[in-house]
Amino acid sequence: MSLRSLYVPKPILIFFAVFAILPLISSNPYHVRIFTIVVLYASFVYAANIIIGESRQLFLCMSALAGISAYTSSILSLFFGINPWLTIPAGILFSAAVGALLSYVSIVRGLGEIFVAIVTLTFSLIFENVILGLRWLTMGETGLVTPVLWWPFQEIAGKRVASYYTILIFTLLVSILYANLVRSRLGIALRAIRSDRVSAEVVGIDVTRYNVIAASIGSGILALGGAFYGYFNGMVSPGVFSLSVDIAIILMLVLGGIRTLYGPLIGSVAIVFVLETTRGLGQLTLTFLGILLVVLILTFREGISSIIQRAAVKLSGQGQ
Amino acid sequence: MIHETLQAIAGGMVEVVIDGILFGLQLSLLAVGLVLIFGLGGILNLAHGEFVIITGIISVVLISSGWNPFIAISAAIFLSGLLGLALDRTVLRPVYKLKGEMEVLVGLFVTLGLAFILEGITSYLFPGFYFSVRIPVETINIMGLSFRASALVSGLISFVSLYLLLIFLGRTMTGKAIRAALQNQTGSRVCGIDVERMRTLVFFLGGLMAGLASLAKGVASSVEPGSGLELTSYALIVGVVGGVRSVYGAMVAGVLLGVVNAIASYLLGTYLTLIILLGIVVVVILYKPSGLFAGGV
Repeated sequence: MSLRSLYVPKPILIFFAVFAILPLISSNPYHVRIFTIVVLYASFVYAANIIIGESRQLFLCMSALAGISAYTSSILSLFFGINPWLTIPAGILFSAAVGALLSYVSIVRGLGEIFVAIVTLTFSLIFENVILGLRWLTMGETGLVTPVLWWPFQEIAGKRVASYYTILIFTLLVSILYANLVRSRLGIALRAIRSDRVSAEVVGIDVTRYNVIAASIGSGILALGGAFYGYFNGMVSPGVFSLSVDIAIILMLVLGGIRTLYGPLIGSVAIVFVLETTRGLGQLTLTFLGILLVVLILTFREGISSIIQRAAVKLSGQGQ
Repeated sequence: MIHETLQAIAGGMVEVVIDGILFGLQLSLLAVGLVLIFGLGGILNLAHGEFVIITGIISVVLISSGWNPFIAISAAIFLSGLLGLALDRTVLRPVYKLKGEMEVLVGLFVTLGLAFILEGITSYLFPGFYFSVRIPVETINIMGLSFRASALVSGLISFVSLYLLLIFLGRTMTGKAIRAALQNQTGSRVCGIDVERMRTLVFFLGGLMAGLASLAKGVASSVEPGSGLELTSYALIVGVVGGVRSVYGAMVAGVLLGVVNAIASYLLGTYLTLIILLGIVVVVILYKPSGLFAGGV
C-alpha cells in the first residue's frame, strides 16, 4: 500500500491533538501517568478490536500476550546487558507467534468461540504459573525490575513526558493501522467471514489465513504495548498482566463500541476514569467493574461510539 | 538400596492415589453443578466458585449467631441453591432471548461480571475470613495405611452427594425429565416437558451442588473469599476434560484429575502439577472437544 492511499480520518487527528496537549495543561506526575495509561490501554483495545471484534476470536489471554513480550524483552536485556530497544522486537515476535499459534490451532481444530475462550483462559493461567514458577528468571510474584529504557527526547522533556509522547505516537499509529486494516483486503475478508463463514469459504476466502493474520497483528500490538508498559512502569509482575486487565480491555471495547474506530479511545478514557475515581473503594472496585460489565453486556452492546455516530448522522440529516 | 527406595515409593503411592481419589471426588462435586447448568441452561456459569464461598460465609455467620452448626450449614447449602434459582430468574432472563453462540457469549460475560461483583463484596466485607469444619479425629488407619480423617470425611460427603444426584437424575420422574431436556430440548418439549421449569430446577440443583462442594472443601481444608475464580477454573478444567455437558463425565474426570494431581505433586511438586493439569485441558480441547467421557448425559 503506497503512502498516498493511506487513510487518515480527521477526527482521529483531533483526538490525538487533544491528547498531545494534555501534558502541557497539567504536568502533574500523577496526571501524566493517568494520561499514559489511558493511551496505552487504547492501543490494547485496538488490538482487541482486531482480534475479538474483526476476526471474532475470543482471546482471554491479551494481558498474557502483552506480558510475554514485556518479560522476554526485559529478561533478554538484563541477561545480555543490551539496549532494550534491541530486545523489544524479539518480544513482539515471540508474542505474535504465540497469538498466531493459538489462533491457528483453534481454527484448524474447529473450536467454537466458547472453546477459544476456554483455551486462551487456560493459556493465561499457564502463563501466570510459568512466571510464578520460574522464580530464578522472573523473580516470581515480587516482579522483575525492568532495565531502563531510553525514551526519545527524554533529555528535553523529562522521562515521564517523553514516555507519554512515545506511547501516544504508538497508539496513533495503531489507530491509523486499524482504520486502514478495516478497508484493506484483510478487513473485507474478515467482514465476509463474520457475516457468513461458509459462503466466504466457498468464494475462496482462506478463513484460516486471514484469522491467523488478524490474531498475529493484534498480538503484535499487544506485545509492543506490553513492553512499553513494562519499561514505563519500571517493573513487570504477574499481577500487572493478570486476567483483570483482559476484563478491563473488554469493558472498554464494549463500552466504546466494538468494531468502531473511535470506540477504543472513548472506552479507555471512560473506564480508566471510572477505575481511578473508584480506587479508594479497595476490593469494591472489582464489584463496580462487575456491575458495569453486566449492565453493559445486557443493555449496551453497541457502545457509545455508534450512538454518537447515529446522532451525528441524524443531526446532519444525511442518513446513510 | 534402589529396590528399597522403589518399595517405599510404591508404599507411599497407594496412599497418594487414595488421597487423589478423595480430592478428585471433591473436584467432581465442584464441577457437576457447572456442567449441569451449562448442559441445560447453555450458560457457562463463571460465578460458580462464588456460590461455594457464599455458602461458607453464610454458614459461619449463622453459626456465630448461635445456630446449630448442622442446621446452619444445611440452610446455607439450601440458600446457595436458591441463589442459583435467583440467577436464572433475574439477570439471565434477557440472555435466554438471544440465540446460539451469542447466548453463550453474553451468558459468559454476565456471569463473569457477577463473579466480580460477588468476589468484590465478599472480600470487602469479610477480609481474612475462612470457613472450615473441624473433624475431631486426626488420622484414621485402614489396613496399615494412614489417612487424614478430614480428607476421608470430605471424600465421603462428596461421594454421597454425587450418588444422591445420580439417583435423582436416574430414578425419579423429574430427574428423567431433566436428562431428557439435557439431551434434546425440542424433543422434550414435544413430549410435554416444561423445559423452562427444568432449567430453573437445574440452576437450583447447580447451586445446591456448589453448596455441598463448599461443605466438602470446608471439611478437607478451608473456603476463603477471593478464591472464587480459582474454584471456577478448577470446575472448568474438570468439566472440559469430562465433556462440558456430561454429568457422568465430570464425575469420572474429577476423580481422574484428582489422582493425576496427587501423583504429579508427589513426584514433581505443586508448581509443575498445575501446569500439567492445564496442559491436559488444552490437549483434551484440541483432540476431543466433546470431552473424554462424554458418552451419556
